[in-house]
Amino acid sequence: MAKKSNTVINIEYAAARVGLALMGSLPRVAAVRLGIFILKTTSYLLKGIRRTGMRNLEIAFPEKTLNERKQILDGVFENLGRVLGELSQFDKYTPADLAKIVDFELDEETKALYDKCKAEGRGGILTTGHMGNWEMLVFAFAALYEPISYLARPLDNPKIEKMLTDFRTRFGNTPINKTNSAMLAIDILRKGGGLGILSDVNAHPKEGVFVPFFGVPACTPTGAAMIAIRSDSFIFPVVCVWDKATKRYKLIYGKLIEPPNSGDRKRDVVETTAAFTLEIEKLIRQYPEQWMWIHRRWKTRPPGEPSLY
Amino acid sequence: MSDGSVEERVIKVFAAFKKVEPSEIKMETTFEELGLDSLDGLNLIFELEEEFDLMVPDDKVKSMKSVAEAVEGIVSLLDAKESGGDSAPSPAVAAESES
Repeated sequence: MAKKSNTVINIEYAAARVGLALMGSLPRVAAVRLGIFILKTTSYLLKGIRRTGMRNLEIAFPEKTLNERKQILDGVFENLGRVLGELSQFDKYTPADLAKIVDFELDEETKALYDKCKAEGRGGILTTGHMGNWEMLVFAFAALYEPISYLARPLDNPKIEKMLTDFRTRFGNTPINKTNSAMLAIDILRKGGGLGILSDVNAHPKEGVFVPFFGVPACTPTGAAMIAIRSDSFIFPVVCVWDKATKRYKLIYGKLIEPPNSGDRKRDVVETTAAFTLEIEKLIRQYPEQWMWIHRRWKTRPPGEPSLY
Repeated sequence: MSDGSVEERVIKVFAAFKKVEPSEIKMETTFEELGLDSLDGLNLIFELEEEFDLMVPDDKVKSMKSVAEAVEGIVSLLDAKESGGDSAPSPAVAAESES
């Protein structure tokens, strides 16, 4: 991708900064409503993106009617609007505020397993997705429990990247640049730390392996699996979703995954990647309207297979 | 285990990873020049560990920024392994070599 000019960087940054500042000046509920209104309204102008969303939903849910898929897709934009609205409030939230809107309780069995791994001094990788409010997940986790590190590829606009990083790190989280710091992530995990990785996007063939996702092979990043295997860390598939009934965020999660050690590294990487992808799929099936269906998740195809888009 | 010198074998691993001819990989080529990010680097370390049946410790991984440094690192680990040092293969690699 061509590097952005300073003019483009500044224009984009100014628009994002002013937009978020205006939303941030509103009370939380109003900011979220405005975010939802903006995203839902805009979505009807983004024909190509809606087409991608509908195609993804057709792949994942062939049994659903067109109307059901449309409803899910509308929910996607509502969810993204909520993410935007909440993000505008991030520099105002206190831990007490967050405690009122998030419920990060684990069930007893999962908590016992999680605590056991931590007591053994093992690191934990939170494999999460672009689902629910992934920004709230790391933000509130740091405010209410403990800061974690998160592995991410910086945006191509360094000013917006810095603005978002300032939000995300307010309660002590540490960003780790995916492009040059995998060993730093391993150091943190070896010391028993936590690491968040968004692992639900289409990968370039050299960065991923094909594993089933909604029954269709999807090229999935192997970073989480490689890092887990190298550092002997457990993997915890988890997302933070909006619960309309309680009007609070809550954690939903899959089972803890122990990376295998079969003696065949390549197979272990594929199996681990498949295992957490399956867990993420199960989470998406619970709240399909809160996953980002507008991303071309099945873009990379196995050699010889035609495009699905 | 493959034939050839350590240098040739390391270059072969890099070439296979990048899907290019070994002749295109030079000793002085850096990971950055090869367009490798840190996760690619980790993947390559897995490949090198498998190729040479040893474990590359984290500090060695961090010092490898070019093909030459990878060769140097592997040579020192192989030397240490031969003299009974601490470069035993990782459990995964060990299990693999036993099978």
